[in-house]
Amino acid sequence: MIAKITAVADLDFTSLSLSDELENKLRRADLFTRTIVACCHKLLEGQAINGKQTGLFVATAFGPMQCNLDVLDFLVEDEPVSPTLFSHSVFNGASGYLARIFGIHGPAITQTSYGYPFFTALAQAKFALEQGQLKQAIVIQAETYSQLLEDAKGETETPWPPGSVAWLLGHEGVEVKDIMVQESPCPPEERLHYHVTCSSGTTHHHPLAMTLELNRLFLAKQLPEKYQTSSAFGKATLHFGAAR
Amino acid sequence: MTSTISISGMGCCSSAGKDLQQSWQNLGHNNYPKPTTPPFKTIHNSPVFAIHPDWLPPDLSQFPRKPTTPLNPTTLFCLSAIFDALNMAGLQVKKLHQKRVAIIIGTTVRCHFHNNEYYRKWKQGIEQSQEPMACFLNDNLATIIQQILGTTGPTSVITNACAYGTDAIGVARNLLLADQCDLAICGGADELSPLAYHGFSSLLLCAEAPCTPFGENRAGLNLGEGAGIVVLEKNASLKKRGETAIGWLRGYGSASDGYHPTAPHPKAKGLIRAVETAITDGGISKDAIHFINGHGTGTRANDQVETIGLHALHLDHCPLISTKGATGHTLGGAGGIEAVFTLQALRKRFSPGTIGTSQIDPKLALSPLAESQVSHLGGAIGMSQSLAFGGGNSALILEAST
Repeated sequence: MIAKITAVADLDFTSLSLSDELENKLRRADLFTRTIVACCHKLLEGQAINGKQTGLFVATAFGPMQCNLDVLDFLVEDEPVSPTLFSHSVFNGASGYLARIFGIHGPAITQTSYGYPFFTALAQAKFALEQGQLKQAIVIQAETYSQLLEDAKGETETPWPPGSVAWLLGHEGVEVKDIMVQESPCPPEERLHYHVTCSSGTTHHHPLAMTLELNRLFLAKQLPEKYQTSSAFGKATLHFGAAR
Repeated sequence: MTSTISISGMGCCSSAGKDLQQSWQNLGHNNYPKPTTPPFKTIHNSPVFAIHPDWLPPDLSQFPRKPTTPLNPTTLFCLSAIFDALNMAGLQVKKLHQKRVAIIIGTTVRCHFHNNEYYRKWKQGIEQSQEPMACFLNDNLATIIQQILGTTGPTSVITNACAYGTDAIGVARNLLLADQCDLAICGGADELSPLAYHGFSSLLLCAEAPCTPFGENRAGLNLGEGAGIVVLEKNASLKKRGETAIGWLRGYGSASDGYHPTAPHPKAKGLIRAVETAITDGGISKDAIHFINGHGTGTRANDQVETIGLHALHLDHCPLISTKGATGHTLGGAGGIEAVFTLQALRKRFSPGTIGTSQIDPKLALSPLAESQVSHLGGAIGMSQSLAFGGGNSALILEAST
């Protein structure tokens, strides 16, 4: 089966609002989980999903970092850790919510890197579809960062807007032909500086920006046949079929 | 053998042994360490399986590039296992530079920021060196390993709670099949950390005595540390370089419970689907499986659900064990270490019993081997499986070469 982009969605952190039903299901969830679930909800609106044949491929650079730090708060104060916070600080906690709320029972792979996590997850999802392991795949990235990270970046750098981006892959839409990701070691300051140049001519300054641009191009039916990125932390090349 | 993916080398380190040879000798002779008090300040009483400090660091001299920041224990464990795996595979590091090498590693501790001292000072607004933050930003385990080995190819850190290592091997297999790489170094690694220790303790999952997986009086898990790595290659490329496989990765399956944030599905729905997928993927029948290395953490829920699932799958005929009584639950390392132990058991056609467990829980849906019940294995194919927080379940079908 050929892997095609059926639908895309993105969620700006400032527009994060949940229905009462979702709010109820997420009452204990941290911001990272809430963001990713809200984006997935937006992605799947009007889409038919076969839960047993759908996989989840979650990507993130920093994961639930604030939740991680909230757990550290207990440790540095020598207090017993909150079990609820701890279970949400685990990176794949969000995929557990996605599986439960949207009835997805295929594989759920969460992977992390500071470079191109979405593209790496996309490559894994693409393969699973092409091999017939799955009929559909949700590829989703969320970033919610933390004040600690913002302070490390310093005031001179462009702020990183929290949010989430998601693609639904299936058998209809624009073909994902080929993906090549090559991440490289780089000085830590380059990770915070975050400077990615793309073949579209755009320069991106935060970890969700590339996929946001691709979403915009997809919705405008202007997805290029070849999309290349280059940065201090590596390069990626994606080939797409003709936009429809 | 019908798999196209060979396992050409494997390596591991944990409290059970500094390498595979020592680990296997200890497992086979029930000569395993007892867990001890954690090496950090804590208000909890659960002992842990720490790696003997004399076993580190591994010999880094064969690696061409020196790291730019101090290496943390997780990376050292991982390098130690990689060193052994590459040696077994007959691969010199410089040979890797002619190939596209995927490095796919599972880890949990090294995904988190956990420099307590830096964090405390930051909260107090105290000016300090940014080195801990630099280390955090340099801490992607797969990228560090790639840097030290000097290789090129896809990298990924899988962070799937307790199924990391198993899924990392499965994902690496997929990359080979998709021709995204020529060779894959994959598995998992984790060190003991106060954060994970206190987190698991807060969930009331840790035993205050040595763990007894599948045991009648099991009271929880003990955390551990270590790494398990396998080298995967396509059969054709292994043959081309004149080496033989030690085994094959026959199948991989992964499925979600979609049930609860931390507890497994009571009827093991996700596990059953993961195992069925792996068996189908491997092109084998259930009867071909002759050994199962279970997740077997020693918690009431995990061990019960795991046996419910295997019973429902009609796999009661297979010797089932857990090795966590010798290693502890090494989190990211577990899936890798247990895949290595599984293949080693199949190669030797011998299974140790469940280390640390003298009395199997008679209420379990099937009867795993107790510590005294070593078993000779009737075939070369077996399974290693993992269950994880978030409802993840994964299984690998492995076959030893004869």
